[in-house]
Amino acid sequence: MAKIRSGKKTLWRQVKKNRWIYLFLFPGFAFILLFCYVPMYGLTLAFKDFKISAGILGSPWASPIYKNFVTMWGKQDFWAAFLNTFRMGFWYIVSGFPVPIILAMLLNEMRFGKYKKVLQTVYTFPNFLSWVIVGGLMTTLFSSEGFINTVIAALGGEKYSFLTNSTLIRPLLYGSNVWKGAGWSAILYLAAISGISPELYEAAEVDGANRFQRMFYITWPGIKATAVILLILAFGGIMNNGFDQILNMVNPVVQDAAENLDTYIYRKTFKDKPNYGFSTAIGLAKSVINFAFLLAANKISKLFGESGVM
Amino acid sequence: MKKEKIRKRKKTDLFDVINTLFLTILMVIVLLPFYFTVVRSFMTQQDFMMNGASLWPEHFTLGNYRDIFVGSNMLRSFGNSVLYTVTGVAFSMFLTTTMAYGLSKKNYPGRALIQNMVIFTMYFGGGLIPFFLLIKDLGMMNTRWAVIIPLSFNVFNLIILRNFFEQLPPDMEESATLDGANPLQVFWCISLPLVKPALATLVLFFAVGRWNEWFHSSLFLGNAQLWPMQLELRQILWSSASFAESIPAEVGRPSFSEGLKAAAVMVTMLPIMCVYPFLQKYFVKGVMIGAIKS
Repeated sequence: MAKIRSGKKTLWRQVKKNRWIYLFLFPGFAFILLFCYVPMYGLTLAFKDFKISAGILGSPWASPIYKNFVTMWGKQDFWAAFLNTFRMGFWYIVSGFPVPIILAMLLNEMRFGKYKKVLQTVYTFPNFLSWVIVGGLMTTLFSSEGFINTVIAALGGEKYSFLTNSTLIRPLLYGSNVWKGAGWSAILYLAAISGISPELYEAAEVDGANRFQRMFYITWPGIKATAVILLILAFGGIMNNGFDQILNMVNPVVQDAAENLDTYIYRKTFKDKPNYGFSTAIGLAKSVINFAFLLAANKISKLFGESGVM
Repeated sequence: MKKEKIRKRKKTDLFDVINTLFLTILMVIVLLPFYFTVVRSFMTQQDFMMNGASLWPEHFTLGNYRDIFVGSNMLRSFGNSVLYTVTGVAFSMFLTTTMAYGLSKKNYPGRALIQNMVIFTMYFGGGLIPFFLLIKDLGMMNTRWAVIIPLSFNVFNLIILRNFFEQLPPDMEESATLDGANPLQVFWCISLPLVKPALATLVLFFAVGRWNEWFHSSLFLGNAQLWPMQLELRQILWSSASFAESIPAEVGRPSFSEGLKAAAVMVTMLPIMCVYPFLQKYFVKGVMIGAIKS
């Protein structure tokens, strides 16, 4: 007993001694409790029949308690969105991953310093635009009177409706995602490249290595660790691709072709007749799977991180 | 430095020519959508009907821009966006700096718990609907607070800044404390000035995020008077329920909807275009810092 009491006493003394630290932590911590943890409590909605008048707390539990999940399980469009999330996520990664690496390696070989700066400014700029703007920009390329169709027409071809074609819309999303983000992602690799010792390049040059050999035997090994980690992390976030982009580029006509879980939840809740319990159930399912992916990615990248240091 | 010298002595070879050409083509591809949007924004409807996406407007007009400013609320929404960005960034910085500073300190009860609770939010969250209902329950719907307050936190930025604080030499703070400064003074006068470069980077990234925000505004702001610029633009682009091509392009419409949309895109993009070339190097520095620290 005495021990516990003295333990409590020292704890209290420590808290008191560091009280100003808690003062610093308070605003941020209160914010996180309110805007991150209270919504987690809100996930109980997944097991309730939501009544707007009763709120989250007052709404009755669903019977059976997993009713919303049964509804979810039986919905064909849910499964379509579920599978599409992974399919699109996969292609987002496959299309988005290599381009920044190649771009960084080529930029590294670029010898005209001023021009290199210009190129970099242009490449990175789209990353800072919203998808609303990028959606508008892409229309001027791909709409029926857009640039691409004007060229096709000038060459005597038939005009093509890119934005309302359900097979073309997905590649279009991947492509414009690369267009927007690749230049900026290349910066990460350029940072890694700048850590490679110049002496390696000099030695290779003395030994008569040509430019390609230097790229493959010096630059690439120098950024491989970064690339592997970024790839793993990308797969960890595989379920979180494209929401903003899809809402700003996908025409309702081809909505089904580019529907993932995020857009599905959004449309079910805010466009159709809302059933908050059902929507939350899907959200919870997504959060749990996503959590597993992120954790796995984190674990694996740590493994690689250690071996990379060795 | 040495590498540069050696390379300068070397002659430009075929590789350089091809590489430069290739990178230039890529630049043209990046620029294409911008170029044709600019051209379209200066076109008349007749030009557009005749030529589609031509390289140059046959009859140059400012009419689309005039229509945008007369017929839409771009100016008002610009004011809103400035307001949300400035206040939002200030609030974000307040939360991030104080908490990062608190977490950079060691050896106090609860540190591990608080830090783990923060990091956990990166992996798991309540999702859209509980968040939406929370904002509703807080009475923030249709108020500016809904855009300024809720999205103020970013765990990544917090960790980066915490790492910066952790690397400060402790003796400066100690000597200030011995001189009688209280913890707030130490924080404000000693520690914050020492991490200025990191603060500048965070301000930039928060500002871009705020400026480009439209989704939560669209959820929480029914009242168009409160809309930020991105949402106003979205309204213009999507007002006819679908993309531009679904609008019948009849001659003799009062305004030229394609040109109007292009002009609206240009107007919304202009602020970023004006500041980006000057700020680019700070962004790059920022990402280098983040990459090295994490």
